[in-house]
Formats: sequence, structure tokens, C-alpha cells
Amino acid sequence: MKILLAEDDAMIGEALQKALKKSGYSVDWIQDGSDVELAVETTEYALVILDLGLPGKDGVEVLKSLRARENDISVLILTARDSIADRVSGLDVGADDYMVKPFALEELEARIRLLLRRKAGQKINELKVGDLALNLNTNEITYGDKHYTLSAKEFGLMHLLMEQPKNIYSRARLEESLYGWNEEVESNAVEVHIHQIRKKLGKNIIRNTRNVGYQIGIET
Amino acid sequence: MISIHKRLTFLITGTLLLCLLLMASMNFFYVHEESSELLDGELRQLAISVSPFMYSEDNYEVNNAAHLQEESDFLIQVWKADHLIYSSHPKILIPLLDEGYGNVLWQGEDLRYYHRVYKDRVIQVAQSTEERRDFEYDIFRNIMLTIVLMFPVIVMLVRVVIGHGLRPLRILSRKVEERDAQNLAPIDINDAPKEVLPVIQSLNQLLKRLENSLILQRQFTADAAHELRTPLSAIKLNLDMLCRAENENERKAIESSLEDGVDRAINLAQSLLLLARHETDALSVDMEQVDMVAITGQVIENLKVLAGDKGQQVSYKKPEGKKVYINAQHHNISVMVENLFQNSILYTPANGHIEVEVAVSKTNVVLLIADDGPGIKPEERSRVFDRFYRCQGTKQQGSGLGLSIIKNIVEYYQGTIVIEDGLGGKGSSFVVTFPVSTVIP
Repeated sequence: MKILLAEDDAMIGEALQKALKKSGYSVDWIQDGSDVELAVETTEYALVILDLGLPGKDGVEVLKSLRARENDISVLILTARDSIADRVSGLDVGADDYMVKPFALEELEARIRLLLRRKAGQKINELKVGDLALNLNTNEITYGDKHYTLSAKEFGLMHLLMEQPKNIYSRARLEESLYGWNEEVESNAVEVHIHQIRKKLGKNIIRNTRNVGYQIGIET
Repeated sequence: MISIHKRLTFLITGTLLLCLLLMASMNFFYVHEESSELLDGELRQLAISVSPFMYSEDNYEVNNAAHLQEESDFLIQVWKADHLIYSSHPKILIPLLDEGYGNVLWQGEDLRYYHRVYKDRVIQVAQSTEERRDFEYDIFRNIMLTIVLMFPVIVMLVRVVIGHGLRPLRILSRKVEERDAQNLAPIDINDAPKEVLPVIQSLNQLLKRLENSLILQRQFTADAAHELRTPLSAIKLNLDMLCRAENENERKAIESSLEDGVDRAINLAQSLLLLARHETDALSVDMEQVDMVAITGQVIENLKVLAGDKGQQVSYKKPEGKKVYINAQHHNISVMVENLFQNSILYTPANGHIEVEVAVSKTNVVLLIADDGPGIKPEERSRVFDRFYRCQGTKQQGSGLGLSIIKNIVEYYQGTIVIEDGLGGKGSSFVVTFPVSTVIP
């Protein structure tokens, strides 16, 4: 799951990027409001975390022009502006959620999960494909009656594959959704993660179609 | 507490009372004049209407009293040659007197008489002067009684009328009472009487100033709260992450960010305090002569070590041997120069250059601090002095208050501050100009 973080404060941006990465999301972080639109149009994000007081272009303006272009990407506003008027105008121009700084990391993550789930049309925090059940809160996966714990990247990979079990994802596409722009990626990183997952859950769990890509290996 | 109402009532009734007494005393004089004339006329009338040939003791009742009793009690004498041929009061024996009006004493009692000659007879008519005076007193007493009875009525009326006249003041005071921090709307001047117009206008100006400063205050509090949230968010975020740290290295890294966050919050708190203190201090401390050359040299001397740490080269150009005084306060000017110089050191990269110069003209002294750091974009140059404004992409953890404090100080002492290009077309230079008070060569 790839998240775009638009936050001008270096300290918060850095810490948030680190924290979210640890939880299995790949995070691209930008500090200038005028860069948001370009980023959203060129990369596929599951969610944008948007600060309002951004240099370049104010968060509300960014959101307005996104919605004006009929871009329906999930947007969570994360700001220090806490007045009712700010909240209302934020939600009115098309934010999916609004959080005020300072915030608890856990709550932010819960809200991120909620938005991602809502986007996928789910009500419960579990993704199911056949015997396979991915708990979105705990990074745990259940296969048959056995529980496994996944690393952040493994979880991200399974989340993507299980969300659209019929899709085949290219290696480049998987890499893009697992890693941020400025992260160094080993050329075989995706293969390594898939190898780890197969080692835990069995070889057939992910199907590889040569020269096309990867797909979940369990019939729905 | 002075009450205009009481004061006016007191003054007006006092004045009225004085006038009434004056009127009464004048009346007393006139009453005396008029009643004398009236009573003399009466005497004469009586003397004329008496026929000196008609009277004899047989026709008229004779009064045997030795004194004239009342005002209407007249003594009538008819004389023929030197003989008294008739007297209405035989026991009152006044002699034959001069013609016309006159006074005569009879047994210690003063009598007013009129002496008329008719053919060979003389008619003398007399009246008791005391009784005449009683008549005057009666009239005067009635006038006084009216005044005394009317006085409380006058006081009451005056009170009511003044109360009515002071209504606009009461309305004004009610309107002023309604004003508080939530309602500082100007007071309507349309239906105000022109006497209180200047008061209302000054009040409205005061209200406007109060409102402006309240708006500024609220804006500042909101900005400060907003800005405090940022370092607090960073601290909270890092604390949350600390709980999740898996190994010592990770924990160390988070702890270091945590410390940065706390430092930043402390910095911000200090800047806020400095700003608040400058605003109150400036008002309470007297102006003094501050030597710009010496103070700048001192600041550079104190902070040079910081620049040295970053391998930066600092030069200081000054009008040699001169003392250039401005009218200001030593502490605040020192804070201002310190902040500017510190900024320069902070934003100029390692091994950069910083040039400080104090130059003096006839009227102005200019402090210039230039560097070859990243500089400030021309479109941002006016905004950097706004409270909490931080340049785009800045990596330094400032509070966004430093330049706003500097500008505050500079402008308080009638100075100006602008940003221009820095050294060799790079960086920025801060140009502070003050009016010079004295130069000692």
C-alpha cells in the first residue's frame, strides 16, 4: 500500500514516514503543496495524508483542484488547524477524514486502515481469499487454521495481491507500491519477499506467470 | 464620587434661593415706598373729604382712647385759628403743626399727620406710624411665606428637570456598560447631544484601539497555539514510535529526534517569552544612548566561536575610532544584533562568509549583515518578518519568530529593516537603519 505524505515540517514528516513504513506502508513524502497533484497523477497511491498549512499551495486548495479533476483518491487531512470551521471546510471540499495534531500514532493508523477498507468496500478489518485471511490490524495471516506473522513488506505485498485476487501484478508494479521514491531497492527485492512468504505459507500461495507477473495462488 | 445631578441641583437651587432673597429684599424696599405713598394718599384723601364746617361733638361719636389703635384708626382734628374746635380723639392732644405731611411724637408714639388749610379752618389727620409699618410687614410677610412654601417645590422641580436633562448621559453610560471584550462595537453618535459628542468620539477611538489590540492578541495566541502543536506532534509521534522500537539502534535514533523536538518546543517557548517581554519591557525602561559600533563588536566577539565551529569567515567593518549613538535600549538592541548574526551563522553553510558592517551618514546609522548562504527568494523577503513564517524547504528548526522579534525591536526605535542580495550575488543581507542621535569622532 502506497501512501503520499504531504507535510512541510521536517521533523513530523521524517518521523511519520518512518513510522508508517514500519507498519508496512510505503510512503512518499513531499513538503511543497504544489507537488501533490503531480505526484498523485504519476504514481498510484492508496491514500494521501495532507497537511493544510503547506508552502507552495495550501492543502485545501490542493484538495479542491484534485476533486475538480474528479480524482477520488482517499485523502486524510492531518493538521494543526482545529477550529470547527476548518474541519467543516476540509471535509466539505472532499477530505475523507480529518485529524488534528498532535495525534496518537495508533489512531492515525486505525483511520488509515479504515479509509483503505472503505475504499475496498469492506466493513471488517480482514481480507479473505479462500482459506487465506489477512488481519489488517495485526499484520497476521491465517491459512487454514495456522497463524503466521508477516513482516511489513510481506504484509504490504499480500494486502495488494489479496485485495484484487484476479489481478496479475508485474514485478515493477509491486516494487512501486512497496517502496517509496527515494528508497534504495535491491533489484531482486520483490522476489526475496515472495520467497519469504512462500517459505511461511507454502509454495502455491503465490502464482508466478512468467514475463507477466504475480497473482494470489488460491482459488476464490 | 461627584454626581453631576446632585451638583447641578445644589448649584441651581442655591442660585435660585439667592435670587429669591435678593428679590425679597428689593420687594421690601418697594413695598415700604409704595405703601407709604398709598397710606399718605389715604391720609390726604381723608383730610380732603372732611368738611371742617360739619364737625361738632354732637354729630360724631368721640373716641376716648389715648392711643390710635389700628391702621384705620385716624385722629381727625379741626382747628379754627388757634382753637381746636373738633377732635375725634379728645385725649390725643397734638398741637397745631406745619402744613403738609409730617411726623409728630405723642407720648412716645410716632404719628404720621397731614395738615390741610381750608378757608379759616385747619384740618389735621394723623395715623400711628407703627400701625402703618405693620401694614407693610403684612404684605412683606406674605411674599416671604410664598417663597418659603415654594422653595421645596422649586427644589423638586429642579431635580426632575435636571434628571431629564441628564438622560443622554445616562443612556451613554448604559451603552458604555454594555461594552466588553465580546462587544466593542462603536457607540452610535447619531442621537447623541453635541456636548457629549467629543466624549463618545474619544470613547469610540479607544474602543477601536482596544478591539485592534484584542484582535492582534487573539491572532497571536491562535498562532502560538498552532505553532506549539507542531513540535508537540513531533514529540508525541516519536514517543509512540519509541514504544515500538525493536532494537537499541532504532531506540537511539528515536531518542535523538525526541530531543530535537523538545529542544524545538523549548526554543519556541523562549522566543514567545522574549516577544512578550520585549513588548512590556520596552514600555517600562527609559531610553538610553546606545553605541552601535561597540554593541556590534561585542556581539561578534561573543558569537565568533559559533562561526569558527562551522569554519565560517567573519569580517567586521566599522567607522574606525568613532562612537555612533542611537536613542534606544541597550538590552533590546543587543538581542536584535545577536539574533541577526546568529541567523546568519545558522543558515550560512560551513566555510561560508559573513560580513558585518556599521556605516554612518549625517542622519542615519546602517548595520549590514551579509552572507553567502542560500539566501531568501525576493518574493519571500517581506513575508519572513511575519510571525511564525518559515521559508519553504528550510531545514533549520527555527520558531519562525526570530525575525518578527527583530523587526519589532527595530521599528520600536524608529528604525527600518530590509533584506537585499548577499555576498557575490548569493545569500542575503539584512540592512538595519536607525536615525543617529550623536556621533563622537
